Amino acid sequence: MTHLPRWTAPLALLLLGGSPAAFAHAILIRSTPADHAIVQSHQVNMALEYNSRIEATRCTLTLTNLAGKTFPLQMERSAMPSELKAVAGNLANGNYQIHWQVLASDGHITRGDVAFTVAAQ
Amino acid sequence: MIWFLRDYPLAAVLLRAATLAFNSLLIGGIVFCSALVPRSPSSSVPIGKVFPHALRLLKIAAFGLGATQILFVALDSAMLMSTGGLHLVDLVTANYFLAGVLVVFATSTFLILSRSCLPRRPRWLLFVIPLLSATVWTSHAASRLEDQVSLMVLTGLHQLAAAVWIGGMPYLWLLLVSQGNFDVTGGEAIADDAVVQAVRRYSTTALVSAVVLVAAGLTLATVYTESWSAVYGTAYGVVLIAKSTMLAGLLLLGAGNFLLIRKGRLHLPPALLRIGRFSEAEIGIGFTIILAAASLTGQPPGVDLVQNRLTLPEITARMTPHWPRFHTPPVRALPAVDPMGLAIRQYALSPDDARSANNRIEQAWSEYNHHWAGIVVLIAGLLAILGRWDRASWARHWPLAFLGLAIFLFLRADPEAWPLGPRGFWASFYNPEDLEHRLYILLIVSFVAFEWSVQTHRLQSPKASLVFPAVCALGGALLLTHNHSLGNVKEELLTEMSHTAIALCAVFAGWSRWLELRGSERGKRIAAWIWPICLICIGMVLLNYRES
Repeated sequence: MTHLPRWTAPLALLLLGGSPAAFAHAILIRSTPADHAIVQSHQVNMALEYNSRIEATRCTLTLTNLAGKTFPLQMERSAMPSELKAVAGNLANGNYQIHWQVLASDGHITRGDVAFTVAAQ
Repeated sequence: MIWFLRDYPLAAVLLRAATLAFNSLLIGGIVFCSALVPRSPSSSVPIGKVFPHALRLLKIAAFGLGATQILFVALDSAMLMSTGGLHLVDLVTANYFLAGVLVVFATSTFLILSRSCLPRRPRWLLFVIPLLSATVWTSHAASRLEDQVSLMVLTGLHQLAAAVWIGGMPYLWLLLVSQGNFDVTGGEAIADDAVVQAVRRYSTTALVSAVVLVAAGLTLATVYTESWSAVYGTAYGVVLIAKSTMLAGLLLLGAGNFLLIRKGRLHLPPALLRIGRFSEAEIGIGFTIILAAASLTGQPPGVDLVQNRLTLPEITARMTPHWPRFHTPPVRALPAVDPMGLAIRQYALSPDDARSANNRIEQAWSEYNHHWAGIVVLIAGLLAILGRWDRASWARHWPLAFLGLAIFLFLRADPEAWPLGPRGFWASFYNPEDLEHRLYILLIVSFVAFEWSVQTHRLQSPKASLVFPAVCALGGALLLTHNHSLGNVKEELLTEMSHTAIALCAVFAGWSRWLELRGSERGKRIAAWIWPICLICIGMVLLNYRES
């Protein structure tokens, strides 16, 4: 399925084709924990900062552990209009992934992941 | 769900494009009809005649805008409800929802009121306020962290100017090409005073709009890029360059039309008709710019993309001409093909990883395909020029070169399907991607049939001759409209640069061929050279295409 998407795109589109689209608007500019960071505590304070204003009450954060189990994160209020905050406690040592979905103030939806590892003593 | 996740971005961009286009058409129409056309319907027969057509266009724009807003709100809401666990009640106060409701309310009211009276009075201009507010409220400016208000004002001015100038053009065209716009006095056709007055008013308004549009656009571009590296090194910048290039072309056409209006003998209907035909290309390029603007709204501004920007040496290295690749890796060397479901799942979960699967063998396969496609388009362009001389009339068969492209596409577009792959011919029709490629082939064949018949005078219909430019321009517009690389991956962006160049050439090729067919004698002569040169440029870009 992945042999020809690039070369067919211009010619196909020149002949009324569809289009392979990617979509990006609100982008993550920094996060705590950072992507692929190692956290030395069972409690992880999360803060995700974006390049634009977001509608925080309509954004979601979920956490997936190594076993693939996913659970939603309860978000906290942030003073910044471009930030999502949450706390996850009692995390066992291992790899985790934060999956975020944000609704920017201009109506665009974007999503992404931040991976981190808990390695507490 | 996976299909939904995969197709959401494309649907959102296309709906955004339709929204901007309908919005401009509606605002431009309202301003044109209620502020620029003189209010003397009883004394002006031609204006009375053209108004039903203008009103129909206004209604189409209002209905189209309302419908696309409903679809956009439904799409965003469905996305948030299905993936974010939200309920409808949680979404009704979201910005996009309120903006959508405002537009639907405004367009519905417009449709109801315009049933009983024509939008001929300045009070109809009040509709511009909600329409413009809604689009500004869902623009980049609304979500900026700094200078939000001033950026929203600039965006409003930019969009209003675009709507008045570009959105008003189709109404001007209706007025210009309407057949009843002259009276016969003493054997000479004389255009109606009201028509001439409307044309002059539009011309002045368009000039002011163009100045406002460029000034506001330049300021916004400066804020959203801040540096040259964000202009040439990000996906946002690449679309911005494409949009600016087309705007330069449009300003050139606009200047030509402005001079025609200022110096032309507007009381003579043929002069008006000439301006009208000239403005067809302006309308086409103008709305293509609006579609490219939709692509921009889906990109994060270049200033925010500080990582993975392309550098000038990287761009130069990729664009430096290399000898094309004329040997292909064997089909058996291509990696095993994933089942369709798995490929889509991978794409939905991690689009960047899915794309990086294009390994060296696949790259070689792809480059070989691009380079042969380049040869075909290059030959077509050269033959189109050669065919102008009577001694080389055989070269007018140039559209047949594209038949070779269709065969090439049929053989190599889907190497996993018949005749190269294990999947049977009929079975491949069940695969959406294969089916898509088969449709492209069908389109190429039909376009070849039309243009070949036109070039060799087998088909005399003026409408048939417009198929090639229309397909070319529309294809280029779609290629520009589609959104570009996610996360600004360098390789993706380098590929997009080639595609954007191809799209621009296609847009200019389409509209110059259109001008050749529809324009005045002098315009025809210039336009007749532009489109074959554009074809040659597309061929050259394809010949120099590389993926690493």
